[in-house]
Amino acid sequence: MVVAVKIALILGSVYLVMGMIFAIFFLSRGIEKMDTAAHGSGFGFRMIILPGTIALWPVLLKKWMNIKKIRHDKTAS
Amino acid sequence: MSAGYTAVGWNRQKKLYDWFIFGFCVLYLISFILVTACINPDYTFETVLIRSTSTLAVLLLHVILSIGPLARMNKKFLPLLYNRRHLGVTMFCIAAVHGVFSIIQFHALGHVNPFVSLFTSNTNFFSLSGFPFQSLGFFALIIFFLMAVTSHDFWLHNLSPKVWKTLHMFVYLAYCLIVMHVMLGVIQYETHPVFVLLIAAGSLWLISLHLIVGRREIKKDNEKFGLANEGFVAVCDAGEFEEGRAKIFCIDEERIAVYKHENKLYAIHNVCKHQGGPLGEGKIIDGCITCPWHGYQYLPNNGQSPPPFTEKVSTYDVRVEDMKVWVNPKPFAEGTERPGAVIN
Ligand code: HEM
Ligand code: FES
Repeated sequence: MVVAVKIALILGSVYLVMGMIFAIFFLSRGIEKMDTAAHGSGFGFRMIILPGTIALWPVLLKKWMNIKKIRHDKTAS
Repeated sequence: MSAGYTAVGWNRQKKLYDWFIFGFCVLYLISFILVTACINPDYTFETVLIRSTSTLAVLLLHVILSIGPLARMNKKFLPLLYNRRHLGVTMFCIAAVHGVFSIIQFHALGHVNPFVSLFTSNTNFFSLSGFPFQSLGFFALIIFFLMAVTSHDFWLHNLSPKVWKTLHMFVYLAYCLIVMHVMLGVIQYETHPVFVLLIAAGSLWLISLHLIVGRREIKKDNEKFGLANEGFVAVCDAGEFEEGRAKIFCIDEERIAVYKHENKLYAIHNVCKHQGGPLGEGKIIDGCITCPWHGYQYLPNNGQSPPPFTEKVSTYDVRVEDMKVWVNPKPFAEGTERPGAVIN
């Protein structure tokens, strides 16, 4: 039991640290590419979505990658 | 609406609402601390803080869960609905203070990691009187956290409204966890049954409220419309409409809102593009059908949001003959202009 909880805790921490690193890149660059309504949005807005970005980063990463792929396919064809 | 995000969408009314919430919370916490100081002067400050924030969070949770059905029953409650998310975020913050201080008080003083201690110091999962109730509170807090951090419209768009809505339905699971957390916890910590009685009364209130409103909706949806002619269905009398307001009809399992605006009737799909709010329960403001939930607007004649916004809903044909109102439940493509029907 103690070992299982410890492992869960370590995995959870790693996940959140990755989320923090992702958030730096996403909030400074990715967000404007992914959601046009975020163009020119301010620092306050980014701080408000920061906790969610750290917690749900895989969802945003997937969406961001998809958009990059669509762009890439368009320029290639 | 979706033309550029701001951090918090405040206007005068919402600011007033938020100040009211803030004032109420401060007043509640201060009164709780003062009353405890008089009745039980030997309680430590941490204990009082843990209890005052937990009870306040539960109280707010009941208010939050009551707003939806109350607004359905009586339009007077609609203003409360507008800012429900600020109430939700406030509730999470207060519950978090309770959670964090409980962890500090009960788990951070030893040499074991507080989170490991939270889940391993008590493993009586099969005992009712000794159940590790704190883990239930922890999981509820995680749900409230996810709801609070995704409450901005950015998340609604980027998680997709369906996923977002599903996530927010977990509030009912969280509520059940909290009921168990309190019931099982109080058995262990308190001999006084007041907390149990209060939460039992609270659940009874919420369940009755949801049942009453649910039954009303089912009854309305099952209403049968008699006459049909060339695809049009007779729904009611033209005299039953109020200027700037709507009546909702459920035809072929689709809800249609019929609005009266400048003595003409217009029909649009009842479901708001934002979070599925009931458009027919709103009213016309500045010539636009305005959603009662967060104020998205649509023009009655074509179901389009006024520029620069881009939302569109389906429109329907309406006819008025001998003061009888007829609606054709076949939808036109979202944003299609329809002439409306003059009430003669
Ligand atoms: C990490 C999460 C949580 C932990 C560790 C935790 C821990 C505790 C503890 C130790 C008690 C007994 C305190 C005492 O009576 O001295 C308690 C009671 C209670 N908790 Fe929690 N809790 C958590 C989350 C929540 C949440 C999210 C809510 C509600 C929104 C909540 C509501 C309550 C209520 C109403 C009581 C009974 C009143 C009281 O004794 O404070 N708890 N909790
Ligand atoms: S404005 Fe939010 S649901 Fe209509």
